Amino acid sequence: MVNPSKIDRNQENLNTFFLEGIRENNSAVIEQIFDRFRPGIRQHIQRNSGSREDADDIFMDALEVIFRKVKTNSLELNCAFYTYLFEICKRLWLKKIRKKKLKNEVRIETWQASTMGEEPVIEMEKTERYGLYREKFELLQEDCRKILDLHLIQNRPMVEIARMMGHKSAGYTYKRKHICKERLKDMIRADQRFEELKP
Amino acid sequence: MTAEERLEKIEQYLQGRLSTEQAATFEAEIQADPALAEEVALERDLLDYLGETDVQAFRATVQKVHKQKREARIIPLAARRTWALAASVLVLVVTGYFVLDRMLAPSPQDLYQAYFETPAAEEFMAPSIFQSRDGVSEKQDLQGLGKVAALYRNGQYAEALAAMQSIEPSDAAAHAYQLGVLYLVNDQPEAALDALSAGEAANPDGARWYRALALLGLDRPAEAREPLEQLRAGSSIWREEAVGLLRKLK
Repeated sequence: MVNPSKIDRNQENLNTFFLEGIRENNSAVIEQIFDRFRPGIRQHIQRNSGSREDADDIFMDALEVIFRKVKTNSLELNCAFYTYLFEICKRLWLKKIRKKKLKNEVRIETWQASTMGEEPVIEMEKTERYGLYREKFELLQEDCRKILDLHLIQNRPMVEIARMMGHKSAGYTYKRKHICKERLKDMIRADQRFEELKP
Repeated sequence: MTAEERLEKIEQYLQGRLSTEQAATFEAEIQADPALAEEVALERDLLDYLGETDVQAFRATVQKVHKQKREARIIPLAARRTWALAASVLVLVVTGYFVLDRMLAPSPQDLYQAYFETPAAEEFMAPSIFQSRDGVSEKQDLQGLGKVAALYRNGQYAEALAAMQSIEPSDAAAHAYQLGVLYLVNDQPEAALDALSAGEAANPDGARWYRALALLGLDRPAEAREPLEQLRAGSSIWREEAVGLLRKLK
């Protein structure tokens, strides 16, 4: 994950500390990342037409991008962790403001693959697109969220879901699942970001 | 085929519940029907999203930390208010409303702790500070700053301060400003105050913000008001914070 030949020992240890903390979903490490690095990201985004809330959203999205990279063991860092995080934040923010402004007005600099490994394009796209899904999924009623989770993720049979949800019949649960999913898709499609974020 | 049946078929296809023959037929249908292809793509995406339980767990942790940090700015002050309120019931009998009002306010040190955030190295050691100088001295300064920045990024704040002190800069104001921020990071508000006053020409708004915080750290809130008022009248990135701080200083 970290190439020690290009960076000094101290930095290597710190990179490993942060990347492993992210991979293990360690809240103490994530807290340190917030304390050390968020102020700089906030200042950068606030200096580039963003608000503090915009900066916080971008910062959290960037951490998710890094999580997606480290969980697949596909991150090779020859630079400081902060440099990598900062670069992802910059790119996510530029992509966001580019959608609001004239496309040519905002230039996205070349990704330095020699020090930061391959650009996490897929991870950034997924983070942005799935962020929209998450936002809409959370707007669904609680029973809808539960039915979709039980059916699509846990693969439980309709009869069992009906019993768990306290429904009178599996037929009702089946219809309810259909309604919930259509509602979710309608909300996603109605959002203007849906077309922009299509793969 | 009804909408429900269509959805069921897509789910069966994506979950691998169709026979090889049925799947091949359905794939041909997808090829021929762009609307169906779009429907399948969104269904596949949703299935993938809902299945990312590890990412969702990570996101939940990040949001929890974010929430804790946001509340940390409010809770200590709120807790302080609660204690102060209880104490003031007794004090009120003796000294009256004036004392109660004073106790309800957060102390300057509380505000200093709540508002000071360690900045990123790039933010206060930006090479743009040195723009107006000759090439040779600029290069020397940047080499020295590179060392400071490396130590700082590693969290070696005391070492970064020592390295900054050893630089002999050609731009005294820029150097003083950066030194001032480093003193504050090392929790030395008195030294920070002197350096930031000397460094105001290099970054007027930054110096005002950190000077105000240093004054709060030194329990001199009346003096902190002036730089905060100046920030309120301007449009820098510290304006919003300055307005919030002034409100709490009342």
